[in-house]
Amino acid sequence: MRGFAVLLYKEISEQWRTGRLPVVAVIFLLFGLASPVIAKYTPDIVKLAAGSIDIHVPTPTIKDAVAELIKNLSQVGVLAAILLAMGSVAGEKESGTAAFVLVKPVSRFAFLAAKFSGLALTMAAAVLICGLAAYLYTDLLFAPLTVLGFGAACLVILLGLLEIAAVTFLGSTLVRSSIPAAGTGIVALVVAGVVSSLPNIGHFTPFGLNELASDLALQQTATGWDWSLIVNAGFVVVALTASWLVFRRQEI
Amino acid sequence: MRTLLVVSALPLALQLSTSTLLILLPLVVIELGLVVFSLVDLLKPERRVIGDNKLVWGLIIVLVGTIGPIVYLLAGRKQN
Repeated sequence: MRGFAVLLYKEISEQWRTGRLPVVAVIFLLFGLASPVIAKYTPDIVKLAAGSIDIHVPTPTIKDAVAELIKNLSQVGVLAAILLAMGSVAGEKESGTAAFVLVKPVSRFAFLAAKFSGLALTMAAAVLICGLAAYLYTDLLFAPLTVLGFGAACLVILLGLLEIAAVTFLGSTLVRSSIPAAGTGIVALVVAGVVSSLPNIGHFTPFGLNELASDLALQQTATGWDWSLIVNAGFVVVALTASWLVFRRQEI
Repeated sequence: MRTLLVVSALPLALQLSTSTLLILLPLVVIELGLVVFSLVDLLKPERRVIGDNKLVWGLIIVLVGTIGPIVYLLAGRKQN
């Protein structure tokens, strides 16, 4: 891990300097605030839009606020994860920065580890900000959620986002351009979306974790999820190991 | 943009109270802020963008809802 600390510092300062960290934070803040609001007022807007047509729309509950948050994070959060990861290695190879950094006394493992750690820290900070905003607005518009349950739900959502980011990161390691790397993430997204709808194995995908996140946030009984969490975390480890195996002998 | 439409139309349509308007205000500020910040950044003379076509990025920022500024800010800019 020679040079890891220095590279991680460089990575985080670069995320800040290029505006990626604040931009992702603001985007997640927006969706954290918006989710409970959309859940609360969508029925009123539907009734208003329906005009004289009599439509029965159920009164929104705290369950709708949590569902809206998870749905938004599954869409925009995943998009942000792909956009952040796609250029992390490929962009540096394309611009020649990777070659410049790797002639210095740093190992290739430290280079990759710092890249993904910086990405993971950015995603974690964004999910934290989103979670705090959603917690506050859910409390204001509905009722308070339990801190522990909601915190655990946010961690599960973060795991799902890191899974997509790790696969995109693998794509970014394999190729020299950001666009095909993003393609890898999008293919992973489509495959995960299809598999998540299948019975018995759906739980082993990032989208399958959404049900667990919802149960945790709403303090409902969540049992039998151990293997699902292990398999999803395993996907992250496998994708990162594959990245390392490719990158260690790659011509930069 | 759906968020912006929802929170902009709500006060008039639903005759919301001042406290509810205050709850909605940050959403409008952030959503508009993202669009304005993206456009200001795009119009900087030294800014280079993927595809080298600022007009297309401008249209994406303005017309593709909330996703437009997100894609521009995270993936559309070339780093100097």
